[in-house]
Amino acid sequence: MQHLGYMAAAYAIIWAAILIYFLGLGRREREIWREIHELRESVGRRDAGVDSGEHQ
Amino acid sequence: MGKRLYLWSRILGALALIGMLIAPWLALVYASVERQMGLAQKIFYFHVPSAFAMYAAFFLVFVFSILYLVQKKKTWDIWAACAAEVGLLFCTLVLLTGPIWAKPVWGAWWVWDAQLTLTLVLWLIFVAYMMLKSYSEDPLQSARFRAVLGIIGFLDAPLIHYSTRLWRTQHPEVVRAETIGLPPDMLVAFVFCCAVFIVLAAAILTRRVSLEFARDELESLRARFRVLETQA
Repeated sequence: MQHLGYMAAAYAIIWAAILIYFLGLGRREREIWREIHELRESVGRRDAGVDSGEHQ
Repeated sequence: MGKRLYLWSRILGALALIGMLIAPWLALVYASVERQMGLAQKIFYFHVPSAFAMYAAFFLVFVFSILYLVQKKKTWDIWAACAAEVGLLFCTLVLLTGPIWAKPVWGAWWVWDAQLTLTLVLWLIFVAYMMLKSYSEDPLQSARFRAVLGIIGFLDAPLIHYSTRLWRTQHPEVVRAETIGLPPDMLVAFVFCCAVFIVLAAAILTRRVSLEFARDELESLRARFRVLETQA
């Protein structure tokens, strides 16, 4: 089992780096999509408000 | 295009995940242990594929940067910037795992060898690229500068690959055109790991680009919302 520690360290770094990157990416995606959904709803409500205002 | 890209990113991500679960088994269990280097040699199965993924990503930066300079389309800038981020991730993995292999084999974490130094230079070039993206106030000027930097930066990649032939270096030459020089079990593990890392890089790139497209949609929604606010 020569150099087991070095091998384990290298594999751990690779897995950890990829995992951390994906978690960060997922967090950024969730934030953007949440804001997109909120804005879509707000824009939809405003559009409906403008339309009903015009009909009146 | 955004939805299709998101779907592709999910498919590639699932393939990469399956591959990343099989790859350690192939590298650690299936492939035999090299006599001289012992288990430290197994770092090679993830270190070299990381380098190939890095080359592929920086090659895409090179291509998309040329396309951006020729056509001036924002889409090419987005693809180039995302590919640069992916390349930088894999370049970081190369620079982190290389010294861990070097310590037991060479007796030193780092030597100022041509291949190692050129890889560090490549990493610094793309760190500068990312800083230019983050801190520039003029997005058009930033995109132009980054395109030029991306093209120049990629020219370092072939130098890294052929540095073992061009100069006297300590770093072993892994792949020659004539022969790879690996026993069959090691070759299978190596080729599989290379394929997995390329798929992984593609998965990250497509997901990253679809995120940028979502960010674009968010910006246009914000602009629309501001217009409606002023009308109200």
